[in-house]
Amino acid sequence: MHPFDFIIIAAYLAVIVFMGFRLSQRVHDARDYFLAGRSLTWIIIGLSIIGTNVSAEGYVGASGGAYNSGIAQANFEWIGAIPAMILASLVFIPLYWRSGVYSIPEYLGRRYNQPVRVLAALIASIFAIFAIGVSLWAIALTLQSYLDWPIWVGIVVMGTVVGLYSISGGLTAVAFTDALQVVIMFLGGVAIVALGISDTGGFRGFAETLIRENPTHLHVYLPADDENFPWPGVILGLAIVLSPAYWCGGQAILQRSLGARSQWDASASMMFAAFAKTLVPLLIVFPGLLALVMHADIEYPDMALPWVVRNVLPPGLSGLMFVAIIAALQSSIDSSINSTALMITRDVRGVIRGKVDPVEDLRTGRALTLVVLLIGMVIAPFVGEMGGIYVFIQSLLSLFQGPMLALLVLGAFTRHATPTAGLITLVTGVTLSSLLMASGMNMLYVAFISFLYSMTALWAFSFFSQRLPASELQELVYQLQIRRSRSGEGA
Amino acid sequence: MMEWLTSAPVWWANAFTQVLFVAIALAVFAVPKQVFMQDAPDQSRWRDVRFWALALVAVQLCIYAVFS
Repeated sequence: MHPFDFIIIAAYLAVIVFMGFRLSQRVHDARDYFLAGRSLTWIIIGLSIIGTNVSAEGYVGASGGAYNSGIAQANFEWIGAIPAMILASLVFIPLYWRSGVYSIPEYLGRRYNQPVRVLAALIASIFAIFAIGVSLWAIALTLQSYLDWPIWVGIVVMGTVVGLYSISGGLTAVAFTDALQVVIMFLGGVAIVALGISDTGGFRGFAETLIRENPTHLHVYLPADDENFPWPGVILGLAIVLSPAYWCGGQAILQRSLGARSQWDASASMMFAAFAKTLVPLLIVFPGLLALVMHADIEYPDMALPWVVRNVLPPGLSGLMFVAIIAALQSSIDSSINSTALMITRDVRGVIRGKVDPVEDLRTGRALTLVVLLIGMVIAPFVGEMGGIYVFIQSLLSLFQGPMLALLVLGAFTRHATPTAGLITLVTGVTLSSLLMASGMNMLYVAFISFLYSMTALWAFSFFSQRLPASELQELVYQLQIRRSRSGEGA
Repeated sequence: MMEWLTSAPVWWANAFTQVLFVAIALAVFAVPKQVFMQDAPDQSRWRDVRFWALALVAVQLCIYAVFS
């Protein structure tokens, strides 16, 4: 690397640690630590949402996916995100925000019962810890390939940097550093697009070469028998189930919206993030197409992005792009450790103890943030080396998305869903998904079928068990909340 | 069921997508304004996030029309 690249990297790391310590002065209790004292503005939250969303697999894997399958990879950013983000902004975020919850499991606990809350929090936390391990492994690999650092040095250095600003500054530091990281990611992405198009003879030359040599790479939907992105799977599994479950029920994503200074900021933040999300394919899909047009000499598709960074960007800018990749990984890790610490502090420990204390929860939350990070650092080499296992774990996570979405949808839109039916549906829905997955069915179809089953089961089981009284559902069911706000307006 | 699905033509996906986004554009106005505007700093029209949703839908319709 050029010395100028090193200066950029060192300056970036110094700035984010400094920001973390500066913002730590705002943290006095658990509300400040986990919800930023409900002080965040829509622009910061929107950028932070994108930072959290674009992860290790997102940055490197999506470029590889685009190299392989073309622009169909962008479905994850378009139909696999935008409809669900609009739904989250207009319906679910106002619902969560007004009910005053800290987390999605807490909402499920109030809407159904405490076992559902604890189960949902435990499932989300366990998978988040594995994801943190994999992200730390990915950062260490990146540092090894660019700077020749041993893997363990990369894990320790990056774990320490993320820990310093996340543990001291809480969600405020996480959100502000995420926002900075996303700006860097977009700067790096725009540089690649501009220089890449220039190197391939302008936009016309780029497009003509791509269409001539890879005619299907500009088709957003691939045939239904395609191995990677069959269109029925993309629509039924991704757009209808996995995407709404992620955008309307993902704790790491929604936590910053719950930390908004007003309900309007919370809703606007998700819409703003959706605009940014529309442009994300420029950052993570375009490099794959560029590598294809430039006939990159690579062994496997995931090497497309590193190849583009080395061969398209000049010194200084390649350092910036390296920082952008590190930033994408860090912004996913910091959000995960904060949200996991929140769920264990309040949704597991708080429920078991039967009480919450803002000052004590701050101490516990900080300690748990450190513990979660340390576990992630310890398991990183093991999880990272077992790449196939990580894919398997991700598939397992999709087992819960169908049942979880059914609980959220029927819980938020009807008074009919009952606590007992919720717990039964969660357990039986996950069991059904596991059986379908074991039979070898595509993950996208498993998600859709388990969602259909869970909707039906929750509705049917609710006929045989006791509903919560209307007085307890006022802030938890969309129609009741609307009716209440209208009557309040009239009064 | 899976065999039937794997033989479904791609134009169904494009048609479904266009219908979905038009339906979203219509549905956003079923959400009352006070749901998200109650504590907005002011009541300016640009703060009505339903119009932001419309702009998003318009962009998506164009993207899926171009890359269909």
